Amino acid sequence: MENRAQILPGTLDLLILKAVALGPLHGYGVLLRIGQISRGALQIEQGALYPALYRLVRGGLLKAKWGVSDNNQRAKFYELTAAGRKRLQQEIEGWDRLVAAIGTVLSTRPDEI
Amino acid sequence: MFRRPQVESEMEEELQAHLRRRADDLERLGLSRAEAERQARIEFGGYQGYKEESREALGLRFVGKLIADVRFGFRQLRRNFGFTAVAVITLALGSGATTAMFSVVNAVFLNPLPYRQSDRLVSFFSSSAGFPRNLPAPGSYAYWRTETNLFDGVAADDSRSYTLTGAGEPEQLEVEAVSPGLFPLLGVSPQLGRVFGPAEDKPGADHVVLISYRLWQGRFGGDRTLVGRNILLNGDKYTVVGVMRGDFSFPFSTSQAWIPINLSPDQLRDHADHYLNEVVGRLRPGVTVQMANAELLLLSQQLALAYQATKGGDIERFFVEPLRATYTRNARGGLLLLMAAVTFILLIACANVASLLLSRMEQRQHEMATRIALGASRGQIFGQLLTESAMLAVGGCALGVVLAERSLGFLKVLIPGDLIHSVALTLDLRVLAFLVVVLLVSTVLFGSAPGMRAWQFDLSDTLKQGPARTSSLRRARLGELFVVAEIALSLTLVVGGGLLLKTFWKLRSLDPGFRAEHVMALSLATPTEQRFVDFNRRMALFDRILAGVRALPGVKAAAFTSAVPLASAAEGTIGTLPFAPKGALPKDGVAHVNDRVITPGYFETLQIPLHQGRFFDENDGPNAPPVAIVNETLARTYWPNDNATGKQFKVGPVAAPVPWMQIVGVVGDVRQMGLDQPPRQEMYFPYRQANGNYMVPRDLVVRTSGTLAGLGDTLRRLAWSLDPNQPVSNVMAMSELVDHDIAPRRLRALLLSGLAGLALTLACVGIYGVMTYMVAQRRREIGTRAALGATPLDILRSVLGRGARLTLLGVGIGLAGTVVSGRLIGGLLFGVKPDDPLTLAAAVILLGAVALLACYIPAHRATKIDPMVALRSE
Repeated sequence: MENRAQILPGTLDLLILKAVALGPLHGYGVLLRIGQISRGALQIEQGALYPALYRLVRGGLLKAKWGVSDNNQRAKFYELTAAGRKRLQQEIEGWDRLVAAIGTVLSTRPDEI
Repeated sequence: MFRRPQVESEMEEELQAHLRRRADDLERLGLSRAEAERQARIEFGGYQGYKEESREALGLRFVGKLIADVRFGFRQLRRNFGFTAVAVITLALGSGATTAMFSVVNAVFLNPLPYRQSDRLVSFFSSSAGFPRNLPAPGSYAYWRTETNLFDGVAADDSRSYTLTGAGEPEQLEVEAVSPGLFPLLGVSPQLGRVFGPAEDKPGADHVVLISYRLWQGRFGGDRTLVGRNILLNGDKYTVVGVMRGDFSFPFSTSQAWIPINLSPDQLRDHADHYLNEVVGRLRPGVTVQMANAELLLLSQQLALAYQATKGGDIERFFVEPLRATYTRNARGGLLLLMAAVTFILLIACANVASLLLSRMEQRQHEMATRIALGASRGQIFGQLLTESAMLAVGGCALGVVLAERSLGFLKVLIPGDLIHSVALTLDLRVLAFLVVVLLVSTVLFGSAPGMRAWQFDLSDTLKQGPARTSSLRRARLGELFVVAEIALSLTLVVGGGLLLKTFWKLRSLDPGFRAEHVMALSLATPTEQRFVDFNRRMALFDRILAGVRALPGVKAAAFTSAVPLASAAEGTIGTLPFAPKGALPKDGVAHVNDRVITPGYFETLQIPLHQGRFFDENDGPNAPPVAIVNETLARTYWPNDNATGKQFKVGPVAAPVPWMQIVGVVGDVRQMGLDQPPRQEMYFPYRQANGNYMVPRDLVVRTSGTLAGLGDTLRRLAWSLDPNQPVSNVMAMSELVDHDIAPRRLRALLLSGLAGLALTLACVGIYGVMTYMVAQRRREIGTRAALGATPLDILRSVLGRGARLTLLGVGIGLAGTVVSGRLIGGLLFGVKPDDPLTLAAAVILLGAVALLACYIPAHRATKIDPMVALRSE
């Protein structure tokens, strides 16, 4: 059985995939976007971003391309591959199921036992 | 990996850009540039640490990791020195034997011969009833040269024996009379001087000679002024035109000189007398051997129509085979067999090392668990184990190369005699490439075993207090598999060795048809070229020599023959003549039978029995009716129900204008061509009647009543006293000749038996290792049983029983394997069938005994297991 934990350690990868799904970004942009869509609730250590990005590229979930950023500087842009898109979908469904299950457990009232 | 600097700099650029952008944003929020940059760096986190992690994620750490693995592996191996030593030595034996054997195979079969494009060269043969590979006749050679379209040149060689006189002791030389076209055909050039050309292949101009490098160095001291000078061959002056190179040998490694063959028009029309030693041709580009043989078949049929008087039946066919095949034919089967044997040994060696590694895995469980707990991935552990295995393989193979190199000198004897100067036995590039392949294959073979184990490693296994049942069972199974495999492989080798030994023994005890004890043989080549000499002078010389020899003390009998039994090592050297019996012509048409010319007393000297009629005597002279003696095989072939004496035959087709010969006696068969060759049809002629095309007596056989010591020298002195120019060569006891004939077989049998012994030893070590490991694994179980009342004998029996079951299984598989190997070894056997029950039984018993012995010590140790200690470790 595949040890998923090795491919997707923590939820950082999930967040990156989601951020990039909304449009190709360079590393700093991913950071900003995560902060933006989590409305500031999620803070990540910035340096940890890059090993995660490189790992995702190696795993075939992201692809990288050099381009020009909005202030005319050279930057490496990351976007989702088809495999990445599929993995993101799977993770989201899994996450939803997990949340629902835990939610059910946590909302159990004493008289329901 | 090669883009490393670029990837590294891109990553650096990306991270720096990130910091810059963050600083820009912070600056926009109001901080100063310096503060913004500082803040950005703090927010980023440990820059160097993340850079390192990025490198890891980018795969840039591969080489660094590899080096770390190698260092770690080295420390591990050094700490367990005993284990490492055993593994390395085992691998060295396996890889060394395999490499050494392959270098022989490489030299003999793969490396090109020292001729231009040697794979395009072929040799011609003729085949007829009773003689499937016969020497060519000059007429056939003429046909091949002129009537074929598929060859870029055809050249003939007639092996002769000439006496070199005039410069010291007379020496008998093997001289090859060859077509001038031979040298351009082979694409060789001389070391000194030039080769002779077509202008010298005519009467009057043909007394030129090329000498070999060895003769030039040995006899003439490397004298560079020799070219242009004359030497005396058979008393005639021959001008030396050149000296050949050291690596040139054609066709034999003992050929010393080459002269023009100078075939007369009559000879070129002679299709009956098969005496040319070899005819070589070069295939045109794009022509295959099959195409050439097809053309030759057509040619054979055309020739049969033109020449043969008989209709239908078996005709003389022509065929070619690659030149290399001609030289390696006899050695082929044996070498391939030995190659297979060393491969088995390599497999056994790998199995042993794999078992060793597996059992070591046990002790490393804690190490594995710790590493996994600290975050190592399965891939990393697999990689590290594979690196260790690779290091063992490299060490083993390095030692193996040394072993192989040392053994090359001793393995030289495996090279067919005639190739000995043409091929070099070295560890050349192809052999080293082979070694690398062996290295890779063996690493995979034994390295993957522990690697696979690590892959399936379950952390909970070690964290539990007791050994987990399931995993140890799996491991034990693999060890048992190795034991069974090793036993099966060893059995096959032992059976093979036994069969070859038995073959050698059978040949040794075979009746060669004559009595070899107390008989000396030597060659007294007549001092002139054999076919064109004064007949009476020759007879007088023989008479004088025989008289002198018979007068020597202790000599009981002596006689001349044209060819001593077993002396013609190369097939067909004895030459044949056509044989047409009167009134009993078989449907096969005219056959070709071996012929020999002898002096009276020959059969008595060698004690060849007389079955019918009489021996030759002095009355069978040139004026008496022509007579002959035939051997049993010939008599039975043509007159199976009748007495052959009194019957007549012709040497040639029935219509030929030659006299009818009368058979006066039938003698027992002699193994002329070799102990393992069935006797051929043979006819003998008395020397006084042998004028013309018949072979000429050359070999003297002498039977003494005492020892042979000193007889050789005495005979030499006698010959020189009668004629100072008479060279004496090939002085050998007949029993030596017999031994020499089966020497290759003895060598093969000893080598294979040696390899079988090595395999058996390795298997023994392997079984011992696996059984020890198994006993250690089941310490608790055995201790429990002892505590519950099992006696030491019970435990011994149980462990041995387990070993016996594995042995039985291995033996069974091995026996099944011998069915297959039997088919391959069949060609090398004589008088023994591949499924010889005695050999099989002996092999099984030997293997069983060795296996049980290997199991005994671990079993004995098992009985010593203190039940309390075993239980306490729980």
